Amino acid sequence: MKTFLMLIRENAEYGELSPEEMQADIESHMAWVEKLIEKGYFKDGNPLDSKGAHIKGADKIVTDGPFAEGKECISGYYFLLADSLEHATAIAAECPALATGATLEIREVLQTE
Amino acid sequence: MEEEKDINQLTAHLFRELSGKMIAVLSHTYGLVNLDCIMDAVQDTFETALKNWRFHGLPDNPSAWLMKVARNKVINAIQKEGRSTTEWVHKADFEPEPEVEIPEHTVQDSQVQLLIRCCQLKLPDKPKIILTLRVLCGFGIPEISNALFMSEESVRKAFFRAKQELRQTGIKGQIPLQTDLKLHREIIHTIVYLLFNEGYKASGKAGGVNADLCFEAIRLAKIMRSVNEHDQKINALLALMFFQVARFPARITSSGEWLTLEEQNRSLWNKRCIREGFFYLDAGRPLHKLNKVYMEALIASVHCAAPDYESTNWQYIISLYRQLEDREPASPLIKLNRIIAESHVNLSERLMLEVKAIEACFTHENRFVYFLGRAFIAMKLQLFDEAENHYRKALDLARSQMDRNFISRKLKECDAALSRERPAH
Repeated sequence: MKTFLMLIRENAEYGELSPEEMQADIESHMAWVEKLIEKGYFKDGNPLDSKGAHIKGADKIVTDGPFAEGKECISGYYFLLADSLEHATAIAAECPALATGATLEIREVLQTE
Repeated sequence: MEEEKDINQLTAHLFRELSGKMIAVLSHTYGLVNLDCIMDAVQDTFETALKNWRFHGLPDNPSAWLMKVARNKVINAIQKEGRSTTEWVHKADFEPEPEVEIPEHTVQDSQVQLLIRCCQLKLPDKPKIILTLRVLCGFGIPEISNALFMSEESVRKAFFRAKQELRQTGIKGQIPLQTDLKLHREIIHTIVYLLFNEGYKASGKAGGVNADLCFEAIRLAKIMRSVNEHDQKINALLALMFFQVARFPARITSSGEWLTLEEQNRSLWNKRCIREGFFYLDAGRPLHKLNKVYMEALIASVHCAAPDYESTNWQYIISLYRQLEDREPASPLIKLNRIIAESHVNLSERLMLEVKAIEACFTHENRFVYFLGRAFIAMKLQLFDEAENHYRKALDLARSQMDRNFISRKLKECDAALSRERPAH
């Protein structure tokens, strides 16, 4: 099994989701994570605060990104366990965040000695 | 709170219900003057939960977690504006502690108070319903627009205005709860009743939101009943609502078609709801003079008690409608209902004359119901041309696809009867 990093990019604001819709969203995510754990694909995962900082270049200019362009930001990350990138992609394709317009990025974590 | 520590699953509608409870408790503590900030904080809290719970699952006690986060957000927001949190603190029934375990009676009292505040605003009924749904029942704007057949834009506008009104009442200070209750009982009943009706009218629409309106009305009524178990009117109202809800499972076919009372499969009626209805009906029996809600509940109970359509005690129903007519001579709807009830036992041309006589009393809003009623009587009298004519008029006013389907089905029955009468040449 290899480890893959899955980044979730989505709108930082949930806009006008009603309490009912937010509860439904949470439930779908919890069900998904449970399935991942059950199948042994889940290693770790955490949400990220929407506030953040950007530091750029040798000048070390700090901005309060990550909203440089648009309001999309990385809202959380997962470490998935899978055999290959294809496998990891297939697992990630089931992520419920996709239904609400999120973008997922999947990258293998290279083990360096 | 009713949620147990070992909960590993969210209760259905937990967020929606908690939204109302949290807003009620927080505005009770920090004042309605902070309503905007409180509503933002509650919405924000759910978003925080959304982020965290996705990854880590549920905390030990989700509702206490949400309450704590929301309260901290409110305090932060008020302090950020440079105001003291104690300045607005109404004599709180609880001390804000890190672990917020709010006694159930405080939650109830806060909701009752907020309901009263919503009801006593000098506003038309619709904005009050919208406000109640949003603030106390945790409905979103799209859900309300769906349920009330209004555009999202007009719901938003009405809500905004009503909310400002509500906020204003916070500045004028609190009125003792008990006085309020007696004073505003009527209007609270009206709001609950209207809320239920909105759900009832629309319960044919796809999606569960509209039956939800009915259950919200029941929840609010139960909160009101918790203040005084012997309040006859609230008991009668609960009885009426339970008798109606009991029939929901039989009202619609699996393919999404309306069924009339006559066509419904009564074994699908919810027996538990009926029993609960009779419990409240007993508790709601007026000591002195009859009231409208009790009589309506009584009529509904007669339907629920009949094993089938044919054995319905129509005579009793007619007499109840007659008494209602005496009480409210100006209501054409009661008259129409009485005429329809009569058509089951004393069918005659006289009924059609009576129906025709009240046509002018129906205003735009309920003309749809009138045309359906008139067509129904015409069918009974085998006046199929007349029936067809009025089903068509109703069809023009039908607002939902289910209504249109229902009427189309009735029109086919008319057609079939007409071609039997006049065989094709």
